[in-house]
Amino acid sequence: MELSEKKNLINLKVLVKNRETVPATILILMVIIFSFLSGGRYLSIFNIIAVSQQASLEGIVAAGMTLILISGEIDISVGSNYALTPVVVALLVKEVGLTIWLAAMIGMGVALLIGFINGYVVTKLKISSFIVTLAMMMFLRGYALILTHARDVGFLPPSVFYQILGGRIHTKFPVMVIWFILTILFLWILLEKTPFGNRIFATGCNQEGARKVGINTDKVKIKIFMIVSACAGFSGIISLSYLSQASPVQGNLLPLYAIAAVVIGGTSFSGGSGTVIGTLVGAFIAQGAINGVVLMGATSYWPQIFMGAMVILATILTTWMDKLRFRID
Amino acid sequence: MKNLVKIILLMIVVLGLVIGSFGLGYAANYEFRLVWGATGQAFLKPVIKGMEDAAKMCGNVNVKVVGPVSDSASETVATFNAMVDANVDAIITAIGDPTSFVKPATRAKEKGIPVIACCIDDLTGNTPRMAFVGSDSISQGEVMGRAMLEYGLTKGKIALFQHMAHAQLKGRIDGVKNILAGKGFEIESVITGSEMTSAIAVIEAYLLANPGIKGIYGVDGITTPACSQVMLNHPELKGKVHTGGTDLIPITLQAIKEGYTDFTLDQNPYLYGFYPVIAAWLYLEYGIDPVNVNTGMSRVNIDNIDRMIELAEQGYK
Repeated sequence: MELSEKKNLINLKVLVKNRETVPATILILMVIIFSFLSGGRYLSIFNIIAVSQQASLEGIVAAGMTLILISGEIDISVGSNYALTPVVVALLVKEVGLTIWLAAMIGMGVALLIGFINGYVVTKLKISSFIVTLAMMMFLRGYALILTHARDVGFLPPSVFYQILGGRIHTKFPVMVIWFILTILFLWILLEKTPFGNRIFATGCNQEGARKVGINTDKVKIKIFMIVSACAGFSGIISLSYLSQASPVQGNLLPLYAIAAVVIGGTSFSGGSGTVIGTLVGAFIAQGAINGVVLMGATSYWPQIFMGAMVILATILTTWMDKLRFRID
Repeated sequence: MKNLVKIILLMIVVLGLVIGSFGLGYAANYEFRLVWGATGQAFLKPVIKGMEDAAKMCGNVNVKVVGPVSDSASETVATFNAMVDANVDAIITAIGDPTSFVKPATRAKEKGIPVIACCIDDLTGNTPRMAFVGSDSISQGEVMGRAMLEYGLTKGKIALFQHMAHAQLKGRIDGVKNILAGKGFEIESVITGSEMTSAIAVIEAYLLANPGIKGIYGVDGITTPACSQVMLNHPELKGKVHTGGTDLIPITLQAIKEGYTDFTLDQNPYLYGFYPVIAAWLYLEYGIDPVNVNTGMSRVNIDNIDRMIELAEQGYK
């Protein structure tokens, strides 16, 4: 084989081995198609910024969800957490008179506690994470409704709080996009560059095997549940800053959108493999699809159909690539 | 000793009966229920305040809000039926559908439970409600259309956003179209979905798909603040794109204060709670039939925004 042919083969192997290849390909194709159909408006600065902002709130939650799915578990209480945490923060400021920063810290504490309870019950009581987080989802939603008497809590945030979380840099670039990227970066380092990340993959791949080599899989899972809860709570606090209200009914579809972004991003639903960079791409694909479909003049119900199709397509392609990867290895 | 205990116990029982008998002399409490299709709306806060203030004035009325948290016609009707079965003294509700409430309201009438509609009425007349407190959605839309013109909207394309397909929202859109007809406007109505972040995403995409659009308006308490948020997200549109809508949501009020939103219209929801309670009480106490009340629409703009914010915080708006 000639040198150039060998190089091409190596490049192809790298592409196939890389889990981000499928979502990146889907994103590129989607951008090309929508740009062509929209006469270039899809790639305008206005639209890129809008899509980035829209992807951020769900993307932060999806980033945490990636870790949970890699470990072989699931957390569908993230939507209720996303609603309850800002409700707690808003009420602590309005009714109790705490400063916004102290209230936000307490809110994050509540989010972490939710994650701890989820993780503890799943690991120590050996109950399916779907059932545990389903129960937690209903409990948190009900509690948010009780706290607010089932009404939205209007809340005009202090200027600094707004600027740091929900505002824009020089009135142009949304700060929440920076928080999204920082979350991805942090979780990427945690997953790919730390021993804890190795333990997450090992737990998801083969929990029994991981235990036998000395990994405390219970501790790993509890920590992951706390991480995804913290992501949901943080995203909720950003939404409070951005929307100036805490709604006990927000985030109903958030678990589904977050899981869709993770799956489109190339993470395996059965656990053991995944990528937060892929989730970043997946979040942009999900919101970019909604944006593109509306740009084409479709009603706002079509994006859900489109996203469902994307999830199936991404899963088929990811499964096919997994088989190809196995053959190459 | 045993006899002493028996005597003390007997005295307690007699005392309890005596005290209890005084209670029989008081007028029985009336139980009024507001049956609502989306009890999670911020819009309900002044409605409930109106009900509670009226109940205090009446002195012997207990009021509660019941119904699904998120908009669901079938659950609302089921709740209505449950209140009829529970023999409450009066039911106040928004008749969001001209057919679904006919049977439940007929059952209520047969049981002697007065039903008073507020906010949305059955324009077909088939639902046997005793009175309607509110203003019809087409008139509301016409008020909105007039406000749009007064705040400098010039001919061209405008979009009216609604969070879901709903008779009341369609009525408002039709009212706007009545006023703007023949004045060189191209009007498109768009459904955004019920979550604020989704509504913002749809409106932003729509703006991009329609450069040169003259106005983006919401016709409900989700799309109006969503339009305001979009204007705040894109300050370069200030002065080029007009916006406004209905209901007093904090972000809308903030946008009015900062000059991004021209106006919002207040349906006076306090009256949706206040008048029906008074009307039902007068009917039950003195046999006075309830009458229709037109609650109108108040305009909120830069001139009265501070007072409106104050009233909103107190729960009157």
